[in-house]
This record gives sequence, C-alpha cells and structure tokens, in this order.
Amino acid sequence: MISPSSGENFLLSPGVIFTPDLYFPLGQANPFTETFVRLIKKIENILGRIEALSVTLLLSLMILFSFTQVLLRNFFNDAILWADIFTRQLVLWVGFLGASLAVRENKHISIDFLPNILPKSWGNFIQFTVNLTAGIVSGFLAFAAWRFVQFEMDGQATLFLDTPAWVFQVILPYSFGIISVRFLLKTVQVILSPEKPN
Amino acid sequence: MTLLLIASIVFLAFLGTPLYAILGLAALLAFHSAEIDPAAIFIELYRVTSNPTLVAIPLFTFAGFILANGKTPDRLTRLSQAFLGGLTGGVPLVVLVACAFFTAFTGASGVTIIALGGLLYPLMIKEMYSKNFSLGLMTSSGSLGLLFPPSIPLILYGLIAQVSVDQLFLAGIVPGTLMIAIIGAYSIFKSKSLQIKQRAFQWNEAISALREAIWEVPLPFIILFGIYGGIITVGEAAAVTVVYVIVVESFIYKDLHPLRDLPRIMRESMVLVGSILIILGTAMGFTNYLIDEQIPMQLLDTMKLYIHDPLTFLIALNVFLLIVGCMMDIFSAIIVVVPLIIPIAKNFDVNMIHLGIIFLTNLEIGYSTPPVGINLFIAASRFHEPIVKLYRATLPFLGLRILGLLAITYFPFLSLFLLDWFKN
Repeated sequence: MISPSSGENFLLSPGVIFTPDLYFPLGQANPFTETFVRLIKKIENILGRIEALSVTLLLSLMILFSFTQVLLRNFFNDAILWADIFTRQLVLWVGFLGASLAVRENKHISIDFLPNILPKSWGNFIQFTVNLTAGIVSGFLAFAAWRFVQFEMDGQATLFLDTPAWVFQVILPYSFGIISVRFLLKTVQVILSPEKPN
Repeated sequence: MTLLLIASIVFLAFLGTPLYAILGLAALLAFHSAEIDPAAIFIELYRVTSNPTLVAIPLFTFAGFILANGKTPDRLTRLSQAFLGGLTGGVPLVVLVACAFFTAFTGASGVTIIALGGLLYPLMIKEMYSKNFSLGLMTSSGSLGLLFPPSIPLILYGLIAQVSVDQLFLAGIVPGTLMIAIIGAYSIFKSKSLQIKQRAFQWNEAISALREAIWEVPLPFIILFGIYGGIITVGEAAAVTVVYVIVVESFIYKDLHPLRDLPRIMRESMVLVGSILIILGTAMGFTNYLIDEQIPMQLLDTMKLYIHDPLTFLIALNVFLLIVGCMMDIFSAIIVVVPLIIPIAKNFDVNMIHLGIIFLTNLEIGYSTPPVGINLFIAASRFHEPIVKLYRATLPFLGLRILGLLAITYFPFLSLFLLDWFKN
C-alpha cells in the first residue's frame, strides 16, 4: 500500500481508488467474473498464436514474391502481373497483425511523458485510464474500419484476378477489434489485481 | 469546449496512451463533428498502400533485425577496430562508423544502443576513455546514420511527402557524413587531450577481420549500386537485401537457425512495423482532415506576420522540430508533422528533399535531447547509469550536432549537390 511518508494525501491518491476492496468489492470472490475473464483470455491467447504464425507465413510469402519478381524482371524480362499489388496488400496484413501482437507485448508507440515524472502510486490510475481509452477508441475504429469494408463491398472494386478489394481490407476491422478486446482485458486486469506500489 | 477536449486528448497522450489511439480519437471526433462517415479515416491509408516503395519498410526492417540478432555486431566491431583502431581517436571512430552502419539498417529504433552498446562501451573504457565521454558518445551515436540508405525513416518521409526515395537516399549521404565528421573531429581532439595511447596497425588482424566480415561488407554497396546503377528500384533492393541477409546469416555464417530463430525475428520486426503502420492508419485520416480545414494555411497566415523569409522559417522549424523530436519517436513525428508542415514549407519555397533531410537531422538530434529523448532512457537502462548523468554526458555532443544541423539547414547544396551531380 501507499506509505503516508510518500508525502501526498493518500486518500486522494489515484492508486487507492482502484484497489479491489474499494472499487470492485467482489474482486476475487466472484467466480462468474473470473471464469468469464479466463475464457476470453484463453480465446485471445489462441488468436495470438494464430496471428504470430500468420505473420511468419505472410512475411515469407512477401519475401518470396518480391524476390521472384526481381529475378523475373532482370533475368527473364518477365513479371507476374499481379504480384506487386499482392505484396503491397500483404504489407497491410503483416503490419496490422503485427500491430495486434504489439498489444500483447506492450510495444505500441506512445509518449510516456507523465508516467516518468509522476509518483509510482499513480501507476494503477495511469494503467487503467490508458488501457480503457485505447480499448474504447479501438472499438470505434474497428466499427469505422468495418464501414470502410462495407463501402468497398458495395463498390465491388477488384484488385487483381477478380479478387474483390474488401477481402484484403477485412484485416483492418479484425485487428482493431482484437486490439480493443486486448486493451479492455488489460483494463479488467488492473481492476482485479492492481499492482501494489511499494 | 473544443479547448477542453483538446486539453484532455493531450493529457491522455502524455499519460502514455498509444499514439494511434490518440490520433484515432482525434480523427473520430473531428469526422463526427464534420458529419463525415468515420470510414473516411482509412481512405488515406489506402493511398499510401498503393505506393510501390511501401514494401521496402517491412523488408528492410526485417533485414535490420536479422543483422542485429546475428553476430554482425561483433564482426563489424572487429573490422572497424582493425582498420580505425590505430588512428588517434581510433576507438571513438570505430563507435561512430559501426553505429552509423547499424542505424542505417535498423532505423534508430534503439536497436543500435542495445545491440552495439555491450561491445563498444567496454572497449572505450578499456582504452582509458573517460566514462562521461564514452557514455555521451554511445548515446549520441545511437541515432547517427539515420541519413544513410536504407534508413526506414527516410523511406517513410518519402512515402508521406510523396518525394522519390532514391533521391532522398542520395541527398542524405553528405549531411550524414558531415555529422559523423564533426563528432569524429571532436573525438580526435578529446583523445589527444586525454593522452590515449595509440596502437600500431596490424596487417594480420586487418586481413583476418576483413575475411571474417567479407559477406557483410558488400551490403551497403549492393543497395547503392543496385539503385543508382538503375538496375533495381528501392522496393526491389529491399527484397534482394532480405534474401542476401538471410542466406549470409543463416547458411554461410550459420549464426541464426532458419526455423528456430527466423520466425521469432520475423515476429519481433513485424511488431515494430505494425506499430508504425497503425499510426499511419489513423494519423493520415486526421492530418488530411486538418489540411481540408485549412489549418496549416491559417497557421501560415499567423506566421507571415512575423516570418518573411525562408531562413527565419527554417530557424523556427528547427526549434519546433527539436522539441517534437525529444517528445515523440521519429516514426510518429514524421507521420504526424510532415503532412502539416509541407504546405507551409512549399509557401516559403523550401525544397522538399532538403526539407526531408532537415526533418530527419532534427529528429535524430531530438533522440538524445534532455529531458525526454528516448535514447537517453535506453542508454540509462543499457549502461545502468542514472539518467541525470547521461544528460550531462550528452551535452557537448548535443552542441556539436546542433552546429551540424545549422550547416545542413542553411546550406541546401549539402543535401542537393549529389542529386544535381547524378542528373548530369
């Protein structure tokens, strides 16, 4: 807990607000919440593994296609017509799967200016606010991305070989959606088991 | 009301909310108030994905991560030490050259300090350089080399500003060399005043170090000759580099197991690419909205009250970018700031290639500018030193680099004469 010697009014310190007994009275005692959160986590974990595997496969595919293209162009004066467009779409897939994995590894780019200067006792408040904001915003972005895909479906645009463009674009709503879930899970985690400042 | 909203968004950003979410939030609110469908946020992202150079970003990033994960840092250190170690100020020169090579390939994401710090810092201490000087040099060198091909920030600037990446690659060479030369000269001076003993040049060691690194030495030349010989494009050069690096590291040196190590490195590097791409995704929509709303133009009108010539504009820009550079990482700074500055810079007749070099030099310096330059934090944890000590250690280097920046800013020909020369 916060030691009064840290020199601040510890009742107003945000670290206290989110301790389980004050804010989430059923914290450890509610088996339903626990099972539910555990289930979501399990699904999230499985998706994470699939994403990691897909990133390696798609990146390998990207390397294969772009290198083959160089060989064809320079030595055989030939090229696969749709390969360039396809590799560019792969960039989007690999990138957004990477962005989705970045939540698991805490690798998203941010300006953490205040956490470096605020006292440690603010940790839980900061974690809660940051994860909740990111979770909610990503949810809305997933919706916006889904609208984008719908427009493309209606427009019936095709990229190459009669493949509709939206097939490639579904990665946007998917990754924003799963990113949202991951941040919300982190938020719940802060509520259920806040870190005890020393 | 709007001010309160902006203030709380800025507060959330400073609290450490991921930048893509901050920009996404701003875009969602802006589009909502303008009654535009939020789907429009992603239209700009699609414009960027139609650029053939885009594929160079994941490919060069992956290649850089492979180099950082193998034993390239060891071979590179040994090689540059064998050739430069005998000179006055030799070891600092080794640091500068090795770091520049590495940063060019890894894009100054802190990888340089992490991968090379453990090798080069003890080397400096062993040669009796002071702790202060060694720390300052290591931290500042962590972003040196950003102006050399195939640096990812240069490619990103090219994509956002819609200028040719191969011209940017050419333009960065002289300014990048100038920055190294300035710090190199200071190191030689410093090493004389510290009375560091010189070591004799050893032919045997030089030849054996060269033989050991023989597969890595040609790497920059493959890229340069490939692109400027007109054989391949930047995107194709990236594909060739990746395949070359995989073959060299996994099958010739056998540093990395193709099945055990490469998938992990792929994941790590694509997490970095993803964290950049997602910012690109939400930021482009927002900045485009601001441009439609004529915000840069309004800013320009205000600026015109005080600023009348390009030179004053560039001074103001330098100050602004140094602040941005020490708050934001280089990738998000490019994505967010470049689209807003370009209309203003065009008005002052600044060359877009020159602007790119100024941008990157500024952001490169911002990396190790107190109080919040990211390299300071990385170096603090890498070398187990308190951050305040690093502030003091980097200060002389900061001064020198700002001198270099001024030269680069006020003499556009430093960036542009190679371009003219190649045209003829």
